[in-house]
Amino acid sequence: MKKIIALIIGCVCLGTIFVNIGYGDVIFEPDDSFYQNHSRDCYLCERNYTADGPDGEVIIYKSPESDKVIERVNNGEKLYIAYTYTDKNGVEWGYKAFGEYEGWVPMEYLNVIYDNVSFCEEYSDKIISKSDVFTPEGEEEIVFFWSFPGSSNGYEFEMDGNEDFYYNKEYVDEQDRTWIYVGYHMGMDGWICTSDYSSDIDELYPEGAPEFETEDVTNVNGKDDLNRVDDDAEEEKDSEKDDRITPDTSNQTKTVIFVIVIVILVVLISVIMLVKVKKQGDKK
Amino acid sequence: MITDLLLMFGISLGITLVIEILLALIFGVRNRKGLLIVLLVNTLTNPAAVLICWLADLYFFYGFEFLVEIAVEIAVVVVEAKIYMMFVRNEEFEIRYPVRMAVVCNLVSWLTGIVLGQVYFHLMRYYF
Repeated sequence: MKKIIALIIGCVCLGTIFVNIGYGDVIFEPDDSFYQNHSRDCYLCERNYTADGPDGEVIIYKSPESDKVIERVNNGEKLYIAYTYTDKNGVEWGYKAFGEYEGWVPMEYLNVIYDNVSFCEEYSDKIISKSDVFTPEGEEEIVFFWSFPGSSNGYEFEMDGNEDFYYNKEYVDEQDRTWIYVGYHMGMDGWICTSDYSSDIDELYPEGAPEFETEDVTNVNGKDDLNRVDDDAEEEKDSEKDDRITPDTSNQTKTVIFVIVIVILVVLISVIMLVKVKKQGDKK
Repeated sequence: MITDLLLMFGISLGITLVIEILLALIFGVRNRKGLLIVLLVNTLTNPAAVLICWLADLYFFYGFEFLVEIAVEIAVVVVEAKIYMMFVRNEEFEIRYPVRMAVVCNLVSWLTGIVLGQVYFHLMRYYF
């Protein structure tokens, strides 16, 4: 019997390890109970934002349905949002991943940092969908991948001989340089300037790289009014404080009480029945 | 939300009962009365344990929930072992190894819960 028990425990332990390893994925999946219960309603975001909440801070909550505060982040701090979720009231929440704290923040209090998505939206009329292959023919062995054309965020990629880069988007900038978007190449993705593929940012833009600003995600509550210098500024701030978006916990207390009552009932019934069975056994 | 919760409690209790009754059979508990004790012990401990873990997940910081889960599992093992020990003297129930049975049954059902939870989560994520 000992062997059977040991075998069962061993199998379950191995299963635990394999399940966790086997499902390892390139896409980040938060170890968050709210996300795990609502993963079907969460959408991949993977973008960087800066905090821009009322009273100079953004509050990170345990979940969109729990008012437990995880951390308060000062405006201007960078937050990486991995997933978004829209609650029943239509409030969009973002899952702040990585760093010391992880949790949920209202997307309304975030400004997106200009990135490839922003670039593609802004230049949608100039970006052509085109699937083709780019093979660098120069002597240089390095190719720069850029987050987007004009971004100072570039990564060097060392080629192993003549490599083919498969792309699906093409963009011609104001200097008539052609850029291609490579969705995946040896773990890299980004834009390549085909005419100057091995040039760094200073060579591409000798007069300085163009500047891209962060943008408001939404402005439903009139956040920009906080920046307006007028006599009503303080009053407006107080108003913002009152209207701060918080998790909807309206049903939480009722649900908790209901569940506690049900569990107590089940436990009581079990105890009564156990006592009854014990007494019957003792009589015999 | 209540439906989801009742489903969570129900699935958890159902899986625990299946596993623990199967393991009880391996431990030599073969008659109805003995298996009824196993069933009642689990309906006593499992909903309470799930409730505490759920409340911890709801109100505590992350990282702390796992410690609560471990503490709850230990408490469950102690309670179940104590109850099984009450029935050891009466051979009618066929409970011969109360402590061993409580430890093994709970360890296996807890680990199985982790495995099934992960499998369910990934299935829901990728196929629905």
